[in-house]
Amino acid sequence: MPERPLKTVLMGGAAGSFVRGDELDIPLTFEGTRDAGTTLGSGVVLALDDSVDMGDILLRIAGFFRDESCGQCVPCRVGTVRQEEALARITAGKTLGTPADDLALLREVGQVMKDASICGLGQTAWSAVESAIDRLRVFEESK
Amino acid sequence: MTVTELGLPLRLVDFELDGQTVRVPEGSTILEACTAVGTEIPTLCYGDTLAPVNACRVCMVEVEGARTLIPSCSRKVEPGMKVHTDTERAKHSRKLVLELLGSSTDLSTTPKVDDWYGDYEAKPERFGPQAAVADSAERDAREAGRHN
Repeated sequence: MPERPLKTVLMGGAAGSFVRGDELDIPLTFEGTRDAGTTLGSGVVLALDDSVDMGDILLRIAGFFRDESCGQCVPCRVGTVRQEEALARITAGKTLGTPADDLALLREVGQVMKDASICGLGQTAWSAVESAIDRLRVFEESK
Repeated sequence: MTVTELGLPLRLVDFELDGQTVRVPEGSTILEACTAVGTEIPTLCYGDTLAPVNACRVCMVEVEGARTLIPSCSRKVEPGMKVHTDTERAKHSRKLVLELLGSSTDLSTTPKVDDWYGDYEAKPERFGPQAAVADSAERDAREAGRHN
């Protein structure tokens, strides 16, 4: 099989965060990952090569959190749905306003989930998506 | 002779609310302290005869040193606590919670909600039109367990 370039590594699972494929010197310790602005999370290290569609991965993560939200608190119950909808619109190129508007809306939803959800599920439901946007710049063309 | 048990006298606790020192009886919640000094905090799931439900997340405030925002209806005041009710972060959270709830629920009979929409410039319609209710077969096929 031909070797493909490493594109990104998802640290800590769905509630973790993406780092770039060129950041392979992060020590796998609590301190090392914290200093690099990422997390050990569940301990998962998921390596993805350049054949992976990041939009699909993010939609899958968003769908996972939408499914797993227990529904007790508003930011997570509705926020995970709105996050998935915004991602679906952005990846399909069918945004409500400009792509930048939908990206801003997604950030606002992410912030309230992080700040106001009762438990860690809602508080981290936006973590991987945020890192993909800010660290991998996956929607750079949408800005 | 009737003897009324008075219990121990309540101690008073000092804490900082929006930069002002406020003194409340020990065991008061942040929301009770706010109400006592006239700082209005919107609430939906709070009822004064109920144990805090803690679910609507409209009454969130910022407490210095805390990673997340704090529901004022259930967090008890602690000595020296520094609470901010009016930060951008707290206001953003209340605005978004109102919008998320309004975009998914009929709030037309909810008291005060129109005032709060105005106060926080909340526009539930900005998430786009609600989707039609999916066919039950389609919904069942998408239900929990199929993490697509």
